[in-house]
Amino acid sequence: MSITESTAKRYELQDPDVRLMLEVRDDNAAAFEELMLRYQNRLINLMHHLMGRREQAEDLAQEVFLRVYRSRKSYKPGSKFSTWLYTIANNVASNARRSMARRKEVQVDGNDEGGIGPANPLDRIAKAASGQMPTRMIDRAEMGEVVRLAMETLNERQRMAVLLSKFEEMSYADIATTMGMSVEAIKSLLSRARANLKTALEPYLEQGAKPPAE
Amino acid sequence: MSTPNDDNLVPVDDAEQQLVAYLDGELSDDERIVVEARLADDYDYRQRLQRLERAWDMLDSLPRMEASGSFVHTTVEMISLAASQELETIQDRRKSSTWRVLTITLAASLIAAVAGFAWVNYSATSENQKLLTELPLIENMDRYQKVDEVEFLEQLRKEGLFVSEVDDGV
Repeated sequence: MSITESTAKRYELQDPDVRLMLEVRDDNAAAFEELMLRYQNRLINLMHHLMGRREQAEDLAQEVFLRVYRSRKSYKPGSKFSTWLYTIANNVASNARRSMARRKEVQVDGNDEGGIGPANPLDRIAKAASGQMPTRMIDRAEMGEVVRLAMETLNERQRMAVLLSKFEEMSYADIATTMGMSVEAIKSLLSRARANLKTALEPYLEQGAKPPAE
Repeated sequence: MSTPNDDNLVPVDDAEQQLVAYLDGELSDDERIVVEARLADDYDYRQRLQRLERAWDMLDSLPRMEASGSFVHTTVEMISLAASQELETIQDRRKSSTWRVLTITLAASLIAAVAGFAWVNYSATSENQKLLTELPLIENMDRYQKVDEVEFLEQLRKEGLFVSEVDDGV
């Protein structure tokens, strides 16, 4: 789909990151560094939660920035910069998952559990929940682990949609653009994902356990 | 646009979908009014909303990673390397393109030369061939010029006038 001049102009005016990327297109290294500083943590976290591998997250984020650099000469703003960036990130993550599948690697979680305990995340959550004393608040690290396991119950697309919605605060329309789906499909995908999360976290919701404040 | 066939871990009804869209601020004004009216009247519906909301809030507990201090530096290095490789590739392409042009020019010149030589050679050969074919005529040109008609010569030949000129090596 070709991007009209008026669309490009509109995004250039609205989005400071688009303006930075246009400077990158003109080989401004400082602008590229600024974009990296703005997005590095967000991208690394996205990759970490998508792939479940801490050590892989930085490599994949670097791959995304490399692709941004390589695409600079053909860049034309047809959306917010973040939407464009996460579209690249989605492709990089998909490729990484495909090559992992080809290598028949088993997804290992971030904290080196080494496959101990039930393989099914839902069973592991239930196991974790059974160890909870109803009267105590579970600490943040425990809660983080429980939520991470709950995220594992989602398929790749649900996980991506959840991460973009929750942490990037993207609209359904932007998520649809990023993932190459329709807005209706995203609406359905997110409602299923959130229903799955609710089901996975049910034991904690029942106990009224809440993550403690920072 | 494909719909994943493995998204159906938990059946989702329209009401749940509306609640999620409501929480995400994705409903139109009319739809929002309908959901809020039902929330005011329906306890179970309200409970569903709260559970969805609480599960969503729990995502804030996910561990957050910070980029290592060297992330930008190593990324810039990686990109510099990629850029220099790109430059090499472009230069190699230019070199090979220059060689290609030279080779094509040389080949074209060679073909032109060969074709020219062949043409000249053919022309010369065909001229010589013509001379060879017409050699008896040329040799006897002086005689033929003294004769007005070919029929007269033919008559002389029949009468055996040219027999002595047959060179049969005997």
